[in-house]
Amino acid sequence: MKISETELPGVGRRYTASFPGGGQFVVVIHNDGRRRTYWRGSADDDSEPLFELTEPQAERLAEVFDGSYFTPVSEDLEDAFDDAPIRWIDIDGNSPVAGASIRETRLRSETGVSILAIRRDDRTVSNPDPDTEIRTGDTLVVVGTEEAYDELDRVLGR
Amino acid sequence: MVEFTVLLTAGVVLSALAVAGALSLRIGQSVIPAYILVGILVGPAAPSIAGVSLTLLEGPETMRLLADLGVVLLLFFVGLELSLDQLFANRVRFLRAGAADVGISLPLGFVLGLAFGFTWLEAAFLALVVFNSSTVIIAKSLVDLGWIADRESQAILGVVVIEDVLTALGFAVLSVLLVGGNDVSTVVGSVGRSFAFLLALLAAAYYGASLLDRTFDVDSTELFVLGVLGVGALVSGAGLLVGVSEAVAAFLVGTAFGRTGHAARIQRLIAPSRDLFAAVFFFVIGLQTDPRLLTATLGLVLAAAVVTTVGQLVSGYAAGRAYGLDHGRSVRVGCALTPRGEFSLVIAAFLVAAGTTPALRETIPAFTVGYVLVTSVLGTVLMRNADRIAARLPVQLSTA
Repeated sequence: MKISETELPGVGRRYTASFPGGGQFVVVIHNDGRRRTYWRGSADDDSEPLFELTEPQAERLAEVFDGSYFTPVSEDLEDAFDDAPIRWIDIDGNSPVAGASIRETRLRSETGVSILAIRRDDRTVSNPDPDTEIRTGDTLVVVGTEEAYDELDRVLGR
Repeated sequence: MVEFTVLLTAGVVLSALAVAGALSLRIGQSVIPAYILVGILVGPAAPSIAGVSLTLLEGPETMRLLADLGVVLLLFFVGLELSLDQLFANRVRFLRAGAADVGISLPLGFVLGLAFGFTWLEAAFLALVVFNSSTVIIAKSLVDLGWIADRESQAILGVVVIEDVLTALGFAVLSVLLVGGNDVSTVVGSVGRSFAFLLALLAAAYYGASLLDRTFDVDSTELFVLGVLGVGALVSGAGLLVGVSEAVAAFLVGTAFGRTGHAARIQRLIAPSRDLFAAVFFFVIGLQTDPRLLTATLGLVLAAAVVTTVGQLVSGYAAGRAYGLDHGRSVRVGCALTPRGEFSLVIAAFLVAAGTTPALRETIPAFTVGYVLVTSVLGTVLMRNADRIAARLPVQLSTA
């Protein structure tokens, strides 16, 4: 695939990607950051407009093309947020919240900790709703401030 | 009668511009003629409706500063976006395309000026006014029509850049020659001072890029914006002092910044200011235009619009073919190059202030306003119908 760049004074820059199988994908990057995209069957055809993107949208799409959008969980995820680290809490049979729904545990209002996901067997219940039951053997993925974790330890009796 | 404060007046004007601009975009036209018309409609010679005059401003005084900044920023951006590298990389094609466009259009305007009975200096200014295609209108139409993705857009914008450079050069020389007084030594001194300023500015623009690069390497957005606007206004103001058009000075400052690493940041941060101030500039142009002069020059305007538009269609077509485009795309080039706009009006505004003859002070500026109104609308219509025009042209043209 060949990509050529053209400066367009007063407008911005244009990139034309020519595919070996025929057809050209054209991206016009405007000076204000907007991107317009076009497609044409061959170099001599008129271009058909495809879609328009803002700069942040284009960056996310670029990550998808790049293969870097779905970042694997890394070692340092716990420190992803400076003031609100992510923790993994194992629930054993003695835990006061085992067998209760998230709503019943009142964890969020009592402690300030939010449950992002629940690891159960080899599945992940992401973004669980308030009626989701917490079971023995679950691992709660939670986020909160240090103070919230102190409260959580008190509630869980740890 | 309500007593209008400056703030209230500004509010009415900006709102009227916004409404007029929105209407203009709705019917697929450029905003420039709309802004000018608003200026004419609320200016000193405004019409009366049911006995109540629409006149909001007797003169441009309260808006002058914003309009002046508009001129500076318009030309600053022309310089900033010059991208000569690309022209040099394809110099053979652009030289041929540019020669076809310039060789036909520029002499045509000059001959037209002489035919109208102007002196050679007046005719030379008129030639520049009817020569320069509007980057603002063309760039917008190219995006609207989707041509921006196709091959003709770089030919069109390349030719526009060539026109801008030549117009800036011609304008610089002519504005320097435009000095009052009959005393030869004063004239020579004044011309010499102006040329010295231009040469110094050129040298600074050429050699000063790395200094600008370092000086403007600041994190603070507001200090950056203030600094860039400050340098632009300072140099342009200094230019006016020594008889150089502020527009030409701003253009050179723009080229200097275009050679630094800050060009993209300036684009992002200052383009909105340019759009605001430029709108006020077009408004003030309308405000300064006496509708009676506009009517008086109507004949000249129509004659010039017909002659130069036909000339531009031919020269633009020739430029497209010289660039290596096919028949249909060359017709698009011809149509795209027909609208006139900001640069012509900048020259007119300069002449209102600095003109040395009645023709330069009144006739040519009024002519320019009418001419821009006609060609900007006509040009946009021609662009939208370019493919139909191409299909109807005799086939032998396409094999020429």
